[in-house]
Amino acid sequence: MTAGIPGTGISWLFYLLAALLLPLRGIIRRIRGVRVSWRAIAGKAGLACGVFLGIWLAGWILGLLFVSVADSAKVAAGAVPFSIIWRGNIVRWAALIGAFMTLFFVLLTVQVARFARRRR
Amino acid sequence: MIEERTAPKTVPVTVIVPAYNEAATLGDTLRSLQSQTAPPQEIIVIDDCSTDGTGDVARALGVTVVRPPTNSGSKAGAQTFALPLVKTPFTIAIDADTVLAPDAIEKILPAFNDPNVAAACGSVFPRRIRSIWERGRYVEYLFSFTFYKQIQDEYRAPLISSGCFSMYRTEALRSVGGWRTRTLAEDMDLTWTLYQAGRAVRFVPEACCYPIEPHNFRFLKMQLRRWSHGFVQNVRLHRRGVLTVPFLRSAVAVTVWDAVVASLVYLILLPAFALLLHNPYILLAYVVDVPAIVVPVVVGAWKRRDLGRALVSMPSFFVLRTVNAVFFLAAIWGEVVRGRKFLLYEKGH
Repeated sequence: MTAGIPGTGISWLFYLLAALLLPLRGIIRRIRGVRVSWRAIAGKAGLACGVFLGIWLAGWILGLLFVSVADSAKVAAGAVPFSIIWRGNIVRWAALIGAFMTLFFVLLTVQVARFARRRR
Repeated sequence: MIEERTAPKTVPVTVIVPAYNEAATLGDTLRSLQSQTAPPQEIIVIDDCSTDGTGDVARALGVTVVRPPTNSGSKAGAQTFALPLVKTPFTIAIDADTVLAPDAIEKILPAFNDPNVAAACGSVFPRRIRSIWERGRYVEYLFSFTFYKQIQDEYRAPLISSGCFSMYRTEALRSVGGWRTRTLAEDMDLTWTLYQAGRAVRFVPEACCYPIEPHNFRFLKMQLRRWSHGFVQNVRLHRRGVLTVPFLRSAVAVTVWDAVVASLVYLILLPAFALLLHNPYILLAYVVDVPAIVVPVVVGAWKRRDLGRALVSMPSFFVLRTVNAVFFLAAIWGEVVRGRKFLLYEKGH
């Protein structure tokens, strides 16, 4: 987020993808003869990977916490096996795909507006 | 052997410091400018009709002081008043409550080796990190300057060249009319105007500045009102122009989407759904993005060797984020729905 402006909804995904595309952009710029700092690019792409892994890990931990809060007694009593009650990672692929689709919609709208402005 | 210390050579830079009743903080700002490893050629303080002796503080430190005939009403007005007095090829704008790292000017100057670069900004960190609001802002800055802004710079489109400390090519600044008073975020207005004029803006993370951030809710309210209204005003003003600037157009669209939708989700939808569906697990959405915040903050704090304070400050960030959402929705309501442009400049640091 920009300081003072709320929101991490699709921004994090936008910047994550922008960071992951940096190596590809770096190759294209290098081919065009532009000087590229591979170290800086690797740092940003690495940070983006860290963010993605962090979100995935948090979802997994939260999934685990649900079990311990809601059903740990049942597991402890041996009434049900752990594998049945574990809800898994709470970060669902569906949510990620939903965020990706929203980002795609926003970026597409920008492109449509841009072409509309150019035609005018 | 006697080691002879010589004063560092000045660089062709003029610093403009707009100041209205800033006697308490101005001295630190000026001393930080005078002790730069690359000191500026001239420092101009615009004493905007202060009543607390701001001009005397500046004069005592040997800098140029100018005083408009009447209060200019805004920071932008005071800065533009001083622009005709600048004789150097580069101009720095700095707030009167901001101090620079000793090497800030030396670090930011090489960004202008590219003749197309018209503006450059550095990293910002609160000078005091004590209250909940300062701590929340510290996390915001760590996140923003470690992650988002660095990626924006890789794509050559920082969203904003911060008003508290930025360097400009004087010729570029004059060509766009200096700082304009038509929005409450004159720095964002200037940055986007420069892009549309085909000029480049850079972010130099190593050039650090330390402003005083709002320590209580009263000052925070004034600052957030200015920032949120300023952002909405700039989006409306430049909505066609930014479409011509690659990456910036996408970054602005994503920021607008998030600012509006995330605010609605945070303040209304999440609690409403949790109540309607009798499912408290829905409230986990408040924390599921924590790693997206924590990872860049930890990396940024690690580099500053300030990890402990950053981690302790994390909860404050979530409070500030909610407050940001309230102010942003209020700005949307006022500017877009009611059509009332808010242009009262309130100093909230």
